[in-house]
Amino acid sequence: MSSPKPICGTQGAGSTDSVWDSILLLWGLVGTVAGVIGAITNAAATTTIPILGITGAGVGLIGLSAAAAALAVVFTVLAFAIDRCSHPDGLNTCSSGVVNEIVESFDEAADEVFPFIAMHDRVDVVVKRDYWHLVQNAAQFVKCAGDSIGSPIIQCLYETPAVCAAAVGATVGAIVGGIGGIVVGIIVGAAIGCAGSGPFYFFCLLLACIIAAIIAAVIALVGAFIGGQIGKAAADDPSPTNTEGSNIRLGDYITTKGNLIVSASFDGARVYWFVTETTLHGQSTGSPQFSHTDPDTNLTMDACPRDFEPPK
Amino acid sequence: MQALVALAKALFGKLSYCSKSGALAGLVAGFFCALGLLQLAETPMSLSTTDLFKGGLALGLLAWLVLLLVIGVLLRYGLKQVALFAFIIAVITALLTVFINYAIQVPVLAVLIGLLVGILVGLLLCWFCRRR
Repeated sequence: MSSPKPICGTQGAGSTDSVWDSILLLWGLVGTVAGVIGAITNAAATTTIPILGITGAGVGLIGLSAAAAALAVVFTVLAFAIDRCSHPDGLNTCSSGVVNEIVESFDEAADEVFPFIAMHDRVDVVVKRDYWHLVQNAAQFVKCAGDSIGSPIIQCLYETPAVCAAAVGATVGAIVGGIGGIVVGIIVGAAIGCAGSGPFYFFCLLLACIIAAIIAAVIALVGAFIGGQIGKAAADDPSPTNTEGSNIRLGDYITTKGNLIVSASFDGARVYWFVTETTLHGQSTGSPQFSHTDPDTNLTMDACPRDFEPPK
Repeated sequence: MQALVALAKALFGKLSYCSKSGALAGLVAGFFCALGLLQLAETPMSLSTTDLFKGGLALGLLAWLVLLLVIGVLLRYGLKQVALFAFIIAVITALLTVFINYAIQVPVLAVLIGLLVGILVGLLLCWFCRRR
């Protein structure tokens, strides 16, 4: 007997998005350190920023605001780069099934505007029931196909050099853009020229800080866009292929071998990060969304060694 | 860097999506509260409840835009899916962060207070939504 069919969806565990966690930590650190620096240097007093030659009340606060926003962008891009370029330890294993969906990297408009968020090429495989234990073990989420019975799938990521290159390029671009953004943010914020006293002055200065932060963040993001596009263009962006060198297609019966992990970027589901070998066995006569009964019936012999089979 | 990721997961990994959204909004609001409090320390003045309310609303809108960008676009949850929820959590978190920070008046704690307020607001909103 193989494992019972896993229940689709969340397995009762909480959120696991590690990029989001990193953003919270890094933004918290940036904000807190900025507050401490502001208190130590008395940034709200009349200050001169020597490099820019700008003097005025609250200029220090405007500078802090712009710098914190630019750093927040840099750290956000860096958090994605760490995630996309990581090679975490997992289970070296093997499974087989039918290809239900293929999502290539840079397939959305947002991936072009923010190249650092692009994900590696992904092939969703409706797995044979023999491999359901791989879908379920330690998973916080079980992904399923859209067929009537909700057949479990394993999402298979194929390492795409352009994805990591874009994320690294975007990080460099964000740093360069961030430096420029801080300068422009301070100049524009100071040019608002808040003066006087009372609530109007208070809110004017706060508005100048917000404007400086937005300008610094936007210019840092523009830098990330340019750096990301350069990185992407400099690296390969191949489609997922099988061992025979041909592209994987919808409906292919395949065996995938690789590193199976619980991925925070996929709701805590078990995914191959990354597939190292794909063997083609033929093509289904059906069409997505596939049921597990299709490969159960038509893919009786796959390329997984007997060691990978669940105990009978 | 891996240590940083591990620390982030240890601190925030168990939080729900609601609490993480609130935390992000609280960080934004708390940071600008810190700047405001630094300014108040330099030029002391009294702000009315209406002033604080308007300031909180403005920071709430800013935090909402940040949530839309980070959660809706960068983390791929979708703008339509998060817009209303993000607006509610951002405005409530920012208003509470402004009032609490103004009462406490410690600039170096403002970001931390925003973070904690956001986590609690998210927690309560999720609990409230589940009950309905």
